[in-house]
Amino acid sequence: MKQASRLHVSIWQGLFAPKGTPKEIIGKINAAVVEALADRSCRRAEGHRPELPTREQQNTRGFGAYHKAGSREMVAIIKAANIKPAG
Amino acid sequence: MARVQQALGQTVIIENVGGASGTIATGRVARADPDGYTLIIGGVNHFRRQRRGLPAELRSVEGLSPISMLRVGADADLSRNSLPATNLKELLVWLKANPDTVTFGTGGLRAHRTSPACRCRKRPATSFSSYRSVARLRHCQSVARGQLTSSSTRLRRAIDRAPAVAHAPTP
Repeated sequence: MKQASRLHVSIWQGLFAPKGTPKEIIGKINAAVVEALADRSCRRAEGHRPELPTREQQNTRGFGAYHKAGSREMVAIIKAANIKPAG
Repeated sequence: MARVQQALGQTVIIENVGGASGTIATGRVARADPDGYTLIIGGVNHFRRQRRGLPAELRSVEGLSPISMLRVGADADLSRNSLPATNLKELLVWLKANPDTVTFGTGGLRAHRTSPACRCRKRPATSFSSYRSVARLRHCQSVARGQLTSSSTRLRRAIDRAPAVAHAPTP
């Protein structure tokens, strides 16, 4: 199919904690998630079309940067296209 | 779930807090004790930065810290099989020509922003049905049964759970 637009938007799911959660705890949970995502049974459950994030996206800092950049990108698009909330 | 509880040696509660496009859920977690015992899993739509002008309780994403991405993929628009459109371009043409007959389903309100039905200029005539949660895929099932014209969901979900409907990936 010919691409109708150069805009590429990915749909992702992520894990968050309340702000202020100690770094050590975040690190521990992140390590467990990374381990689980690398697990064979997890990959098998994903089937032949895995939608697993890259190592960088699994990383807390990498995911944080991706999350921020995504919001910034949307703000820029909304401003450029002059999109206003309806009603 | 039983295995998780066994491994951790304690009760784990999963609460599906639907409503207000996830704002209720993100607010609950943002206000929870930051001790690692309350976490939230959600989609990109739940964690978009909210407008500065909104009251603090609606800007709950500012109160969250990212841990990890869990999966990433494409979004998909589904339509009933009897719809003549087979790709996005045709769907947009069809929506513009048939604004009065369109019924569009979403899991929550978010898909309104990305859906082809939303891009259709004659939108006021389009009938939107918001389903409270995407988890059970009721909106996809309704499309399959012909109750709705089209719907938006994750591509992977569309392939796995709604094989009876045609789908065209959103660019």
